Amino acid sequence: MNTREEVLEILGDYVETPADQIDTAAGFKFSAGLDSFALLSFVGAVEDHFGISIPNDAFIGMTKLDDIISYVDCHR
Amino acid sequence: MEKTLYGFNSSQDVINLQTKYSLFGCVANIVFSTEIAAGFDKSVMTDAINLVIERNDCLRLSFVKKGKELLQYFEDARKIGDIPEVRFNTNGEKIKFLKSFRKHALKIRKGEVLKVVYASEVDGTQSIYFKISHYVADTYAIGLIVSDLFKVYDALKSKSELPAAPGSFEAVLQKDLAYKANDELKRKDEEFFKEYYEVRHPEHPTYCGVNGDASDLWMKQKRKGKFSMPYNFVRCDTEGYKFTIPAAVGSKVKQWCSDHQIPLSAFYFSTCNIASSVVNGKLERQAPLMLLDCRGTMAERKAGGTKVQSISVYTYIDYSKSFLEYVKEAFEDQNELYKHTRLSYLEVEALQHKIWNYSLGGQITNYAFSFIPFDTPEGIKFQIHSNGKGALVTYIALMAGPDTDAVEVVYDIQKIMVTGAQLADFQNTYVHVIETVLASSETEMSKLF
Repeated sequence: MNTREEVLEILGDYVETPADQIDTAAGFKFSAGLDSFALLSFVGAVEDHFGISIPNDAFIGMTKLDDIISYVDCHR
Repeated sequence: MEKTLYGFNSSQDVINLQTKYSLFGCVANIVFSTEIAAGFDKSVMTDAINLVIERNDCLRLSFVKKGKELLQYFEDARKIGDIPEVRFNTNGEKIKFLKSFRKHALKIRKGEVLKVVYASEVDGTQSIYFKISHYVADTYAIGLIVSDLFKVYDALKSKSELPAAPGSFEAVLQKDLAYKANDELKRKDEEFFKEYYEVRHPEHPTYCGVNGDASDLWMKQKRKGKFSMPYNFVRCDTEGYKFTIPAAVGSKVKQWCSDHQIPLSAFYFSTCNIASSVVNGKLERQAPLMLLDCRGTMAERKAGGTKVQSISVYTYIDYSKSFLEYVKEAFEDQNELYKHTRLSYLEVEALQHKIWNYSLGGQITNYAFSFIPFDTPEGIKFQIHSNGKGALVTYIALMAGPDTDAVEVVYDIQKIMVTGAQLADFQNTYVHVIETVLASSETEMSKLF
């Protein structure tokens, strides 16, 4: 399983959309909605899974899932 | 077959501690009601409640003491039994009923985690009063259960298919307990909080009650240089109040948050911190408790149970900055906390005690804030009532629904510490702060307040 597949598998616990329908190049920035906790807890789960830490400064610059996948690829 | 006995997740641990030190079991009650504009069929509603108990495993929790430890298990089946009915001819009768209803602790060790009463309000509207144990549900779970109840009721009434069942709290609990047993993950979270308090925010925060100046009791503790265990738990009579942030203000908040990519919860929490600072002579460093529904995964969002976590949020208000700068920084700071909120609040509190000599007695004197998105079905009016006893000096819950821009602010205050007049002053300050920062969010805050 590659990083992309692993990240999408983790994301599967957080969203109802099936993995094959998720566009990792699309933006996932905070909306003015109420689910920032879900997003941050997903990032925490990615950190736990890969044994890495995604610092706040780096996370703020991430606008799409591909950014998270690239970060994990570089730091795992 | 022998039942699986479970320990408590960290949310339940806090409720257990509050109950233990308050000396009043009813501290762990949550009392709420729903008014149903169109009325309802009591027989069908009772069937619906029994089905909801069947579908929501948290409502089938039972508790048992093993040695000194309180443990829990899920029963396979449970029925609500006969539901009493009351009629309120006057407001006085309603108040009398509520006082009596909230007074008695639920007998959780006998499997009593929910009590229901059908009522007719003074104006004839039919309503349902609920008393639920906080050990088995938080406000998020209550929203989920209420929503499920009315969907099930509608399905039974119209003889249509039942809606999809909610998720399992047992599965969520198992995950929580697996975290509690994982020293490596806990160590990582502990390291974060140590760095958060010792490096990022090394200065001692100040008492920040909504009741203006710090109380004499608190100052006495402070002069001693020692912040001891809760001193007012045993006299914790509380009173509930309800205010509204008008829809005209709420709609501007929504627009501002959308324009600046700030969640509503972060906006309302930040402005609440500023209001608290303003009423306390512009205090800069505060550590209010944020009560957060820690439900990230779909499994957690679909299940009942109690998951709410107390997070001690260190908030530094630099008045030389604009509100926009402050809220963005506060939001980023808060984001990092979100990743580590799995750590039990009791462990975070122990850490604070070590660093600041600042114990739960001090922490609960700050206000506790929660933002509750609420989605009740049309024609159903939902209300949370004070349960008459509370471990927190001031609890502020903001309830926002999708169909209205107005935000209901529910306060529960300890009467010995806060008066209704002080609370009204605070609420006015709060709305004033919101209006002021919306009008001038890029202006230095020292020029605004």
